[in-house]
Amino acid sequence: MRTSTKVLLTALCVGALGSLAAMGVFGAFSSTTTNAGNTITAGTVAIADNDAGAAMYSIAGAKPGESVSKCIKVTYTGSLDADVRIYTGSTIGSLGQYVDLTITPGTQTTSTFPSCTGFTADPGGAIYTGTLQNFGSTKNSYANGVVDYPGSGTKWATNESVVYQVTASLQSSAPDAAQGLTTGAHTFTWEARNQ
Amino acid sequence: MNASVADRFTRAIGAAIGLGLVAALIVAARPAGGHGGVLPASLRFTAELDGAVMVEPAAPRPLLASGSMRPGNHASGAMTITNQTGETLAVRLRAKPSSTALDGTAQVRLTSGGRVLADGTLQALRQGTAEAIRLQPGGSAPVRVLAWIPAEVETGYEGRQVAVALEPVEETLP
Repeated sequence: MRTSTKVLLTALCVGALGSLAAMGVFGAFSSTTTNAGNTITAGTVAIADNDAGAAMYSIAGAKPGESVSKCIKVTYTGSLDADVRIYTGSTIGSLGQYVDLTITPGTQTTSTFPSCTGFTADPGGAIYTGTLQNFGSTKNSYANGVVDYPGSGTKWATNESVVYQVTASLQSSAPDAAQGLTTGAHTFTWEARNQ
Repeated sequence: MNASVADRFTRAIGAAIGLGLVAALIVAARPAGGHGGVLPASLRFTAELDGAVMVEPAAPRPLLASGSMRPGNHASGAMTITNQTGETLAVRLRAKPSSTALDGTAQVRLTSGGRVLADGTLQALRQGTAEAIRLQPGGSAPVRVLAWIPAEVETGYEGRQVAVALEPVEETLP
């Protein structure tokens, strides 16, 4: 190989390497950062009971002093912590003024609606005591409903439950005027709202 | 040894070293054979309760946590369901997977007292078990869950993690 050729090839190599170096020197610097996978999923509020659509009580021909006591288990399955209030949206018939109602929260080893076998009341006792008529007129919406939480807590969390013993008694002092009257069908509502 | 022979010898050695390096790089970059070189799948089953039916263990405690699962691996778990109502119930279980990632790949079999309630893909279990469990008021029944990825599966499971909630669906019987 002639010296001139060697010189030429060397110059070409130096030129090529120089060009690469120049690209690196004069190229623009760049950098990015990303925040991926953003998503929002709404929580849930869900409450259910174990009545399978059946009423707690239905008494025909009730006599003064007659009482019925039934238990219903209410379970919260929503994902959001919630408040639960108990009320009725029903209009109570005229017998309601002679019917005493007691609602007592507690626990039960094994719940089978509407049995109260094995029911143990919470230490705080009843959360409502009064006539059915009074319940219907003062606890008739979420806003004025009876507030209750599992145990001594201040919220309902997922899968927490409370067994409510509902006792309704026709007052032994019910007057003759109460004969033939009725409370009408009434519904107890447990409504949950997230905190 | 004259200069040209030494030159050729050096070039041959250099070429051999270069080829060896290339071959080593290719071998190192090649994925491992079988299923050992890919991430495993995992399945986690929980059971949801509702007002009518009590389940144990209830979500968020899992009744089945498969850990690393590859084709041919099985995982099993069990739960108990109890009818809390005063009615006789027919209870079916419906799967609510967190994603469709293993829908067609994972197989699930649910049994109760030796009776097969469902046996098929995770996707099929979204429709609920074919058979129902009959529960008297206050009655309980055990349910066993077996999940696996068939040994013949080659792909479609890698690194996929799915949480499956089993939801009871009840029907009141006369």
